Amino acid sequence: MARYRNGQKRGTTTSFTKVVRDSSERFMADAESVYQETNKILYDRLEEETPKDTGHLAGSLVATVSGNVESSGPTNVTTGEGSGRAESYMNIDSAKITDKINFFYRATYFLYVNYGTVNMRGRFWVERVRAEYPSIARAVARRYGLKVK
Amino acid sequence: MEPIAWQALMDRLALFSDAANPDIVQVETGYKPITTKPYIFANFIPREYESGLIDHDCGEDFRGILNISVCVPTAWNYAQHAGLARRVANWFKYGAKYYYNDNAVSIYQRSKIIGAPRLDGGHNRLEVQVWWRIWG
Repeated sequence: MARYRNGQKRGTTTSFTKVVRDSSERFMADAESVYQETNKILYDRLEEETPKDTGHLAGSLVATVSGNVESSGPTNVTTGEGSGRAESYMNIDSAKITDKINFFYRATYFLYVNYGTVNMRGRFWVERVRAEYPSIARAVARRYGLKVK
Repeated sequence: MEPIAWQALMDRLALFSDAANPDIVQVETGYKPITTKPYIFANFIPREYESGLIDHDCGEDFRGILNISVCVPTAWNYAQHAGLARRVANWFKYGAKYYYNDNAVSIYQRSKIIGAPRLDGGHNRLEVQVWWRIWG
């Protein structure tokens, strides 16, 4: 609907749609930031909770977009804890809200440590950290003034 | 509430009967696997869960996973292995409620087989996860 000032027609549908478009773009940008930041925190939490002996397992943790392993480049798993973080953050930063972010450990013995073996108890940190995702997302969204159910 | 949930789920698991006749083993028992016999090994993972509801003094929502490792002799093929794992998963149906001391633990997601089988000692092993919740 048109707006009037001093009897003159001022605003138009064009300016109204611009406002809507701008605010929806802002919302999308914020939502994307929330999504990325949440996943970075999740990455840190996973790395934090990974049992560490040599740090090899924690260092092999990688986050990729839509399961695209190759595009993330090889992660140096020999340098131990924190070695996958830079690449993972870079991948997460490139993720759009419609993308799926995958976390995985390149160290193939991950399953044995997480789920255990006949000789070793399972540690199940992946399950525990995954449960934190909604709380992390809510906290990050609040910082951006968004609501998450 | 966690011990109640565990007991209710273990009571249910104890009733599991199958032609393969697997041993049912709970975590923290000194079980020695027999390479010719399948066994299922139950482990308990309470998870931190932030309740979205206003609870005041009305209790809290506790959630977690019952992780059941289905271990079968290496002579079994994958179809037999996955078949047993699926029957174990189906034993905890989505929406079912199990009781211990009048407390209900409910299954709030479909039970799933997680990942590919892997060699573990003299057995192949698959994980089944059962998603439970209890209010109290």
